[in-house]
Amino acid sequence: MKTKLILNLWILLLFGLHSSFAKELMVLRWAADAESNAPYIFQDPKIPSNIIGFEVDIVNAIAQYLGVETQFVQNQWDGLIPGLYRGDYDIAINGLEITEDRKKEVNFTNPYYITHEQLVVLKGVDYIHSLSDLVGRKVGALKNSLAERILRAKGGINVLTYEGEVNAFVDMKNGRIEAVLVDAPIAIYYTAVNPEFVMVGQPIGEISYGIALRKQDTTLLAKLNWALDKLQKSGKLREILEEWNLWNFMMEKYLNDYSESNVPPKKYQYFLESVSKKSEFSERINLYIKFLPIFLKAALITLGLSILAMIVAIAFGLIIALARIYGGKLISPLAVAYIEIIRGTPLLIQLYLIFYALPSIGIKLSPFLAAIVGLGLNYAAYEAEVYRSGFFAIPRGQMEAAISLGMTKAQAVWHIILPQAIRIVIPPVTNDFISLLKDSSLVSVITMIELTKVYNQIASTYYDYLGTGIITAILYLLLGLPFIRIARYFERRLSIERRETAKLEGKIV
Amino acid sequence: MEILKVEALNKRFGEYQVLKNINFSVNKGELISIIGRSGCGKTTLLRCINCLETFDSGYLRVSDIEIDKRNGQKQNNNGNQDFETKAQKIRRKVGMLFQSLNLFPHLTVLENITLAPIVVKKEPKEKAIQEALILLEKVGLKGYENRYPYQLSGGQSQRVAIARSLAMNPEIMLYDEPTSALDPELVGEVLNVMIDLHKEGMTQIVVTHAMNFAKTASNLVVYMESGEIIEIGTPQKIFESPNDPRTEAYVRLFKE
Repeated sequence: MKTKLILNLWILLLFGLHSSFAKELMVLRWAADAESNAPYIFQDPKIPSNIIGFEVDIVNAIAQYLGVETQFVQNQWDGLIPGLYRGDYDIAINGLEITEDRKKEVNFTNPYYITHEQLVVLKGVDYIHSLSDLVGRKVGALKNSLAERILRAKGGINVLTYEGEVNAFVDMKNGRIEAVLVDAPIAIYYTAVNPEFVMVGQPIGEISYGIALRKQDTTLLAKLNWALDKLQKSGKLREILEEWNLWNFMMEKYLNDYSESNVPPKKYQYFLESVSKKSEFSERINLYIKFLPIFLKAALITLGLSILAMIVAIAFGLIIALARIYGGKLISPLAVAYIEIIRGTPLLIQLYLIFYALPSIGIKLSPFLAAIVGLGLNYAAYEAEVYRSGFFAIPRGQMEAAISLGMTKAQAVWHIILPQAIRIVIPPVTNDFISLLKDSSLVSVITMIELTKVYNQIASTYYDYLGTGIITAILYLLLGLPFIRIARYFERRLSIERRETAKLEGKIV
Repeated sequence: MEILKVEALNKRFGEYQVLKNINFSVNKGELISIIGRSGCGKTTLLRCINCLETFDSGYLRVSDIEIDKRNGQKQNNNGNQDFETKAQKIRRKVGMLFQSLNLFPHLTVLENITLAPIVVKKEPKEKAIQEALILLEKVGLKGYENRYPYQLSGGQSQRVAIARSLAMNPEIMLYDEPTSALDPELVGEVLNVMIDLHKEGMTQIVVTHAMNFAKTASNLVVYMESGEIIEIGTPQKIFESPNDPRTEAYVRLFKE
């Protein structure tokens, strides 16, 4: 009886704390990548702090049926499924195709949207109309997408894969590829805004999007399917899709609803209006001014995150350095191993491990904390080596003099070696801080929304990578500038002191 | 009264035997000069006495603390721990001055002197400062307490270093070529401090190349060659009529 109770507690600890039955009645926490572009989930071009998209409308409709609040959780698209098992959110909805592979990891609801792949070429290209026309040509597709699988299955096509569709389209414009095969919604929206591209040929393949959730949340699955069913039968789903200009012949068949369309595609129109008029210079400036508060907020997050991570790096790096120098045969190799492992593996992998792997052994850090710990522990390895060089710059006689005065080694390090070493390492440590500031952009992979993430979100909404890119670069520069000045100041002071010492040693005889 | 005893002390650096069967003792209040060519082991001997170096076999007693390695095999797992504890105690009784100027550059003269009494002896700061000021006056540097080491000459640095050692009330002072880094005209001011200390009854051992000082100021002179003590005697004996031809060959170098 007692053991069973303990077992149950364990199961609760491992899986239960964030599973549906604890939270379902209050808040439906749903995750998506707000960088995933129109029409899925993206920032409202007119009010950038709002997240809109047809999937947002679907989630809200479902929540209404279930009588719960919704809470949006930002996550990198690649991390949407691992994040489910971290327990940061309960469902993921973001153009996730229902595939056999994914079904092994998560449960999917019934499809909320069925669509196809669509060929897109440059306007004026008249020799591509079907898959067969692609043989022997270079064609772009999104990585791990149905489109990629279709192209590879066809054979004889030179397939290039991309992280984001914008990259594929830009490559086509630059002549590196001749066609792009993407999910139809992407094609519809991208060609509408960028008239130099056109959709060609018949629909290819079939792709169903479903809502993903944890395997164990079967009650929630049933509820979601119930709500989806209501959504379909009430005509609400069709209305949403029509508003977004996404209603298609496949959905007609799926819902067995062949009636005439009567809802104007107003949200599609709204998007086109707000995005396509971007050529006017003054309007663009107005747009940037509107973005500024969002950029500044993100810059503050980047700065705060970096400062806290650097504090971790400085403190922990010192411990590692001391362990390496004074640790003896037992501890010193451990410190060396830490430094080599951390420096020899990518920060990105370390962040993934901390964020997605540690929860499986019971350590679950919030994104902010995980970012600080990840960056901090990584930079600690570098700081340890900086300290070590600082320590070695102190003449051996200093330690001997201190020990001859009866101090223990620890007292000597604390009172004599450390204060001198710190002054030597201030400039290099400050320089490291500036590079940490820039490396902090990597933490967007663990759901942190910082400066680079905001840049990607806004840039992908407006297909404007240049203007927003310059704003972002300037902000990074401004964040780093004060610290560059600090490093210079200490460098100069140190060199003046050394020069004076040399002068006096020569002068006073 | 015998305050330091070294018996059958041996030390190797790998294959190279730096100290061979060293035997000598020092009475309280004596000033001993150790002379000899560079590399003869005199600095290593001094560092062994201060436990900055370990030795392989032999016996060392400073005041009432002994390190006994005469029956070679005594080293067990606690050997190192044991040595460190005793070394710590010995260092509390022995002050040491090095050839290189190694005041702590980030501290003022006063802080240099008061740090060890405050940290090691847990003396109240006020008391440590009072004593430090007295010591500064003694080494002729009254009024220098707020200077930083880089504002001192070499001779002044070594005098502050002596004061810094004296602040720990050592029973013995060791000097490892205290004046060889100094310009010739600064040598005197350091040696004079040592002569003053001798008058006050401080036990001192000096490794030196200043032959005139060894000759005129010390009670005993030790001549070392190739890791061995060749001869111990009064300055008169060593410099005028040494027993060993090797001693004679060495002191003759300074006669011209």
